[in-house]
Order: sequence, then structure tokens, then C-alpha cells
Amino acid sequence: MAHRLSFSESLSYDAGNPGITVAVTLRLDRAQVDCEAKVDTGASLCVFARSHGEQLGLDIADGLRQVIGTVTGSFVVYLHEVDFTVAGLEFSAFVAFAEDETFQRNVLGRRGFLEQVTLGLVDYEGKLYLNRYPDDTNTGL
Amino acid sequence: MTFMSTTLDEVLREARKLAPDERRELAERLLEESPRSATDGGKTHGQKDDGLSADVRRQRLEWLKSHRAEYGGQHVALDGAALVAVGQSYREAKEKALSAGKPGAFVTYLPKPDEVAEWGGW
Repeated sequence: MAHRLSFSESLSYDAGNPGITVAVTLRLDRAQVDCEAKVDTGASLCVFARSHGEQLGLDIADGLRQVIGTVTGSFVVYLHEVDFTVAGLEFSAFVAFAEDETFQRNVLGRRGFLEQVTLGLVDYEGKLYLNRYPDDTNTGL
Repeated sequence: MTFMSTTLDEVLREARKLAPDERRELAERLLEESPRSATDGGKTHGQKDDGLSADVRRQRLEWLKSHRAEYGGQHVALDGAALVAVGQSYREAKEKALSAGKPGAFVTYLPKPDEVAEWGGW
């Protein structure tokens, strides 16, 4: 049985790099920060470097405190509501900013991102496809 | 207004025929011409709050902090800072909010107070 999905957006990434890295623009009121983030289906949350949140004018520690567990330990983040854009699609979500200033990784995870899209991946070609979900074009799923 | 809706539908129908890159360019040009502070500006997928202010965000954050023990581990849908729906999934909360006549409700997962979130493979 064939399954069909349709996507409004596509973007290319360097399949030779570790991780699937896409451009993200974070926004809060009139402030905006451009950065790159890795799409990570294994991450519960969207997590960004503390400096990005500070550039948006956020008081990081004023957010909702959350512990994230890793294979080797854990780290603390603070959740804040921000807007962000990926491949031309805009989202508003509760995303995490790391407490540790040395934490420099940005991740697009499940809560706030994956739960709001249909995602297609052809790693062989370095292509990622995105569509908003729910979306009229996918109501037949 | 029917005339406006019909016109918008027609424009959207034509825009959907464009190649992805052309659609992106069209969207970027339209965004450039229409500031985010305009009436409908800045609306984002699934979270259509008109003129969302820092105060609303602040109230929402405070609501989430103060109701973490009660609703933690679930998705909540907030209209401003007022709870309109709770669900075990994003979909359930979203659909309940739609049924409640709040299509622009902010839907988010609220972690339990002692919850440890998963970190992926990076």
C-alpha cells in the first residue's frame, strides 16, 4: 500500500555534515536572531543557546525550569514562548534556552516543532521537506 | 466579507501552483511589504493570537509555572492566559480548543515539575 504526503516547503542540507542542520530565525517582539539548528526526532524539546535568548531580550532564568537528561548526565534549560521560522514556516512555541552559557547547540525537537509539522527526509539527497500540520492539503491522511 | 474571501481564495489557489522556491519568494516579498505589526502580521502556525503582547506572554508563563503540578505531563491550550483545553497529546488539546471556538489558542506541552526531558543524539 502506497502512502502519500504533500509538502509545501523543501530545503537542502549538507548530507556530509554530522546532523541535519537547518536555518532558524527566532523572534520576540521586534528582536530577531538567526541561527542554525539540528533537527532531532529524539529530543523532547527545542533547545537553543542561552545567548540567543538573551539577544531576544529574555531573562533566561525567569522561564519555566526544566532538566534535560543525556546519556552522560543532565543539564538545565528554561522554557520561554517565542516565535521562530524554519524554511519559511512560522511557529510560536515554548522553547528552551540552556542555563549554561557554554552550551552552544541548537536543536529542533518534538515539542514545539515536530508536533506542528509533517516532515519528510531524504538523507541520500540531503533534502528535507516540511509542511504545516494540521493543514488542508493533508486532511486525507 | 465575501468578496475579499473569494479574492484571497483565488490568489491562494494560484499561488499554490508556483514552484516551492517561487512560493517562498512570494511569501518573503509579501512579508516585506506588510510589517509584522499590521493587523494580521506575525501570526504563526497554530498560535494565532492577535497582537500578542509581552503582558500576555508574561501572564501565560506565570500560568504555566503555577499550574505545573496540576496539569504537568499534558498538553494545555491557552487563550491568552486562560485555559481552554487539556489533552494527552498536541492533537487532542488542539482539537478541543478548536471545538471550544478557540482556533488561535496557544497549545504547548507542560512538563511535570520533576520531569526529565529527553535529549536526542547530538
